[in-house]
Amino acid sequence: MTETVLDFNHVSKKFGRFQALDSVSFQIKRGDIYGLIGENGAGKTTIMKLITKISPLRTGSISLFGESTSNYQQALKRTGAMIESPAAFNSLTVIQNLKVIAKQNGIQSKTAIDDTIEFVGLSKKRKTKAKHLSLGQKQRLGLAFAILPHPDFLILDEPINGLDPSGIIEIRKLLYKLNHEQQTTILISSHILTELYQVSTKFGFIHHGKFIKEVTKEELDKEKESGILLDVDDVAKASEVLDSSNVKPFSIQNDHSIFVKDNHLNTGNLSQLLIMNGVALNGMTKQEGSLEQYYTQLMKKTDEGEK
Amino acid sequence: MNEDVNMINQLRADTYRLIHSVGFYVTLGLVIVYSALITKTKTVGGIMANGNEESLDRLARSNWTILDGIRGLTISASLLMYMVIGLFIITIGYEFSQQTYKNTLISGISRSSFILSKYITLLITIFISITAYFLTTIIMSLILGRSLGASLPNLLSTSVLTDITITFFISIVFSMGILILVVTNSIVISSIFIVVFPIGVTTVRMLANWKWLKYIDFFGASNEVSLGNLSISEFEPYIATCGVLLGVCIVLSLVSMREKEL
Repeated sequence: MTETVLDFNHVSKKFGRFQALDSVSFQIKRGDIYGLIGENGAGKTTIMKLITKISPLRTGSISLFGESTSNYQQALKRTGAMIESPAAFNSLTVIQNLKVIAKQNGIQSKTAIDDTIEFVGLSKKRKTKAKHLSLGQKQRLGLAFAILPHPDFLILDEPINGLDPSGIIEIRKLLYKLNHEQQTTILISSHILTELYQVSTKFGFIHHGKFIKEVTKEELDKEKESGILLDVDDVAKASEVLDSSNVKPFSIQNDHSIFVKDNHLNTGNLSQLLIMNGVALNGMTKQEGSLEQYYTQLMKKTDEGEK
Repeated sequence: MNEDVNMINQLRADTYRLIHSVGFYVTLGLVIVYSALITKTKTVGGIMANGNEESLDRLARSNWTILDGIRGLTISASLLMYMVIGLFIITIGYEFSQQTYKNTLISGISRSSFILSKYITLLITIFISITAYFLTTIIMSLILGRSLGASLPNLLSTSVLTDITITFFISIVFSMGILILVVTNSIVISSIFIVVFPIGVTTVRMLANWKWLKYIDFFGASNEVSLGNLSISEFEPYIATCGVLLGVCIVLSLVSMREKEL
């Protein structure tokens, strides 16, 4: 059975009257790259701060590597994190800042710092003071702080903020490498959903402090497939017509919906085909396949449900 | 056991950071120059409720011995605190102003070890600075050809006792500064407190004539120690007050760190 790295159990959090988290529960298993998705203020950063004890836990429980909230200092030693903007000592250089982190974590290896600097692509900036780094370089330094102790669990809050396109690609490769070569479990949030989709193996959707849904990448790929959703009176007859006209592939969703997995069909021709063959067409929806589209639709459904 | 290791790691990290900070050397330089100037010019002064003018006059007029230098430096130590305030800012102030405490706490160190390690680092660095302060006057006095003014063991014991007393008193003011820093997250408010506290206590003690304030008038107490007006047995209530104050500050800082959103 796969080890549970994080068990976030019915956690609620209030800031004054604002309900930042409302009974949020989810689990992260070893090897997951867990993408946390939600609007600004949804509660993503609060979740990360609670896990790392930067924010005190009042309601619910959190278990990290099997250790409970009240006493998981040791579990935190197996965790690396970059939450909100990366923080460094401005008057120290990149290498000096990393030496401070190494000493805090009791890292003795002489090559660990050089390897990490190279890993995050800051080799040319090793003797530059932190205050002279660009936003993207500071982001890389923050990432270096998080990965220097070779954590088993890595928490990254918006790690690609301020990075240029090549930086984003490098970070993507880096996360892939950490996950595949060092078996690092990762919790990551980002506003750039295309990026999050590319790196994550599981997604958790959070909206207004509530945990809405969790899907694996496979499930998401199935759910977010692009194509045309047909609302018909007779699915059996409609499927016969589509089959005989070689409109494939398609799947029957329920007793009145068929999903044609081809987004490039001419919708006019398709409706004409069905109607000419005696199928009553009640509706036709084109579905886009992106994570953004999936997220938008999910949030729309949630908001409608709340009303 | 693990917590001890975490605390030692944090002390090592802070030491590394200090010795790579220009501010540390600037502070040390200022302390040495200040000490040398006092020794050379025989000019003493500081914040004190009880002016002890007779002793000051005697000091200013006399041919300074090394022991007089030690006494003069002790009287001037209240101003020294404003120079070593840089150590407070480097050691713990930056953690809050640059929000690097997040990196520190995520490394798995407990809040109590964090606060204690910061206090210990401050204590050590203040001790180094005060030792440099007194060593400078001894070396400077020897260069100026001044006599010891007391037997060597007496001189050394006075120097060491005064060094430890001043270090401890400054660290108590700084521990209150840590509490204010943790509560307010403001390096400015905590620094202002450190500056205002000794002046405030001395002023209130003079105006209100509250005798109990002498127990937190740290520089007044160290002056008395240096001038030999306070015996060891009389010194006990001061130590007890400091101990209680230190304990309260550390516990409140810890509670505040546990409860607040960082």
